[in-house]
Amino acid sequence: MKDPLEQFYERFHDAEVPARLVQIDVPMLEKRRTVREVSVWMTAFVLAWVCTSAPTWTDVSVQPSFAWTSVLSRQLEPMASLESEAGK
Amino acid sequence: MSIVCQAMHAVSGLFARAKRSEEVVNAFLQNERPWMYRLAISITQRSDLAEDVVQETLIRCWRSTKKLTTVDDLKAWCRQVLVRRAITALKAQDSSELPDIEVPTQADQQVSVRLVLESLPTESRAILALSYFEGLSYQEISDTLGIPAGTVASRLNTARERFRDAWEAK
Repeated sequence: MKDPLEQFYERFHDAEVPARLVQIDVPMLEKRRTVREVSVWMTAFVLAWVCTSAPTWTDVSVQPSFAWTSVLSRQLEPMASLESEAGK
Repeated sequence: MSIVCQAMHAVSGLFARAKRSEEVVNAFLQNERPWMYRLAISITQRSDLAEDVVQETLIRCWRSTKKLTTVDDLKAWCRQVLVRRAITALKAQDSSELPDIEVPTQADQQVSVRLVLESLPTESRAILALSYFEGLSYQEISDTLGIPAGTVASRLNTARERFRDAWEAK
């Protein structure tokens, strides 16, 4: 009687290869994978940078360069003073 | 001027060689997919896992094009990567999950063998597949798995004994 293991493994020699696997364009797949990996690393880097530097944003000396509200308030300040003068 | 020309010629030669090497590897990876898939499925016994393993192996081999010089190296390298990926994929699987039957089973014996193999450790299954399916020598299995040839012999014997015990006990 034939070894059951031999019989079992013989079957795999005729196993049909899935069409999806045959059609894979390896260089293209590798490029896409690289882009994905780079974007994941970039996102992680940006998130890490935001998380580590966010506490410093409350610092008054740093805040104006980041806070658009301060820029906006500086723009609106002359208009407010004009309105108050007109009110008088 | 002639030095510049020589340098340009050398650089273009390098590029041409790299391009040719890429073409060789790409053709190899295209032709060897059936072999890779069959080896992967003989270890994992699941077509979905085998497909994933082959895909990862293709990418890994493609990225290693520069390190490899001959096709013999490439085949051995691919086998090494594939088997290790297959073992990792199998270990990541839930052991309680019963795999789908992907291989044509014309007799109950095939299913029984598969179930008995499922009860063996992952490394034992990989060694059995490399020995029975690939027909590799101890030295080749040793190179593939990165373990000494003596260890391969003892592990293969242990795997066979375990299989025989489980087979007779069923």
